[in-house]
Amino acid sequence: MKYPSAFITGLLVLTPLSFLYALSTGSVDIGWNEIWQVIIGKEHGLNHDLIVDLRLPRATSAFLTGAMLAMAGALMQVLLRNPLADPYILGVSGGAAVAALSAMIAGLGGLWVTGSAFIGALFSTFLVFGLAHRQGSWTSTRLLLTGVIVAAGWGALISFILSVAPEANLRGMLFWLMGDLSHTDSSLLPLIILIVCFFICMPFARDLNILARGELQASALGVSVFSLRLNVYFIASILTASAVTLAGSIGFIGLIVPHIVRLITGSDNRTLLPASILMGGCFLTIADTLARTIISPQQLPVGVITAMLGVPFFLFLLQKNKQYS
Amino acid sequence: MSSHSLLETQKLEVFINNKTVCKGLDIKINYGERWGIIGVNGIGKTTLLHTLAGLREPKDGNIFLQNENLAHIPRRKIAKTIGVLFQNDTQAFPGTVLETALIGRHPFLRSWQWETREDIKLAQQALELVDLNSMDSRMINTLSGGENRRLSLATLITQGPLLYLLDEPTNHLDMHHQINILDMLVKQTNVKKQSTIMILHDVNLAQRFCDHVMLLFGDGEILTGPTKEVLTTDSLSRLFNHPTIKIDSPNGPVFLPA
Repeated sequence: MKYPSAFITGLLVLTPLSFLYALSTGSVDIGWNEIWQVIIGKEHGLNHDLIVDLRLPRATSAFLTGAMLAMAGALMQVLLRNPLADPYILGVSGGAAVAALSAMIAGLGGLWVTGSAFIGALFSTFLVFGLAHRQGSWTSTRLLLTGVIVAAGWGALISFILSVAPEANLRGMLFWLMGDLSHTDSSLLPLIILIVCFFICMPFARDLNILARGELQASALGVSVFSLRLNVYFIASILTASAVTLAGSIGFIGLIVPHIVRLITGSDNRTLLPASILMGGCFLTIADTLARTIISPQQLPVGVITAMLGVPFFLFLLQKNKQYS
Repeated sequence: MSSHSLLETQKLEVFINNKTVCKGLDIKINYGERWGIIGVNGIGKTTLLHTLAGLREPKDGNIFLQNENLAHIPRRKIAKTIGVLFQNDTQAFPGTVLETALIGRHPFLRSWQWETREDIKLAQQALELVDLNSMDSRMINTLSGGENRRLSLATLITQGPLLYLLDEPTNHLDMHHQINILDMLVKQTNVKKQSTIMILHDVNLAQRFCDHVMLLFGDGEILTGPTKEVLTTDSLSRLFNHPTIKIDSPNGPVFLPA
């Protein structure tokens, strides 16, 4: 199975379809024709408000979050040369969570929580980098171990905060931790971040293929390994930080989407990165729509749906493919 | 400094883990020469090779690539002249045989550029040279150790450097492929008078395929020179700390442990 251009074309078709699905489905089902009326500006009633004020921002956030997580996951897997890497492996989401939960305990809300999450994520990024980079040696193993240990530290702090948090705050905190797309702020900044990161990475995509062979090997083929790894590390961290800020920590997407794409199109990062972005976006948009409708009016954490859809699909592909044998 | 050498070292000192690999080393590698590096395990052969490739800094001294100080040449430019075959190749996310060979074209392509038909042809020719033709779309994690070794060589040939630095090129290869591959490399590097420096464990392969050798004795002591002069029972007995005898064969002298 190696048809990268056909696969990417398919995803480009799926993208508007996933949005249509997200816009049309919910407490009130809206037909595609009515959505069209809203788009061309002929409809200003309830449907307009429902779509423009509620469903479209949420679908956009879902798409962007999925896209950023999938891209960050693909980058982390190459950076650490480890197929088990996901965007959260180096503790970015843990740092964000500790900061966000602390803000919630302090009784702050809205932008304070969001801002704290972003700052916590960046703090964790620099902390891991500083610790892993101390003596100039910056091997994948050292980075990985440092990140995993720092993440474990954040995990302990999260448990601590949850155990001392007042009862009234707990539900909000748990939902934040499981990933929650219902409080969407503006998606403009994340959109810009995603586009900028994508265009910074794409010229390096072939260098990334070579980096996956090892640092010395890449160096011998003319790759400036140090600056490439530095760039990849910070880009992946910024993407993860933005995603976590937008939606809390939604598991699974960043780990599994790059692998699904690899199984279908191969490991060339020139096709892997754009395909992961599109697939991550569509996947989370669809999963989030299911999460808010499947047992409505109750909403499920979207991570439940991503795992319930993703696990069987990934296992099926893995069975059929020899790449990881 | 002669204007004709491809690679030249001046007072090169290489040091690793409290061990001096070489000290005050002056060698001149001319176009078309084939050098062998021989020494016991852990003496620093690979470290020396990586230093010559510019992948690690020497403790002292200079290396000149076509009269230009290696330390001042950008990595990408070095990669157009020097190619390295590493002892081990691992791939975190395996691709196909053809994709892997095409990696050799990396230093010659611009950042947004994709491999051209011409590049693919070069890679396929290289794969044919190492006996891996008709395996283009095989996943590399399904290859055997020897096939992987030959694929790494094909990647190097696709890169087409002027200086081949080979770390145990015959590792994992059966007798037939050892001779075949080295014969092929000789033929290949005679085309444009490319030079080769290779670490070999088999003295007799060095005797057969190298015109110059470097013997690494440890403590920075290195004996260099034309193979005929340097490879003797005396030097080899001292190098391996084991008595050596020499037998004449139709292919030239053969050294055996006594």
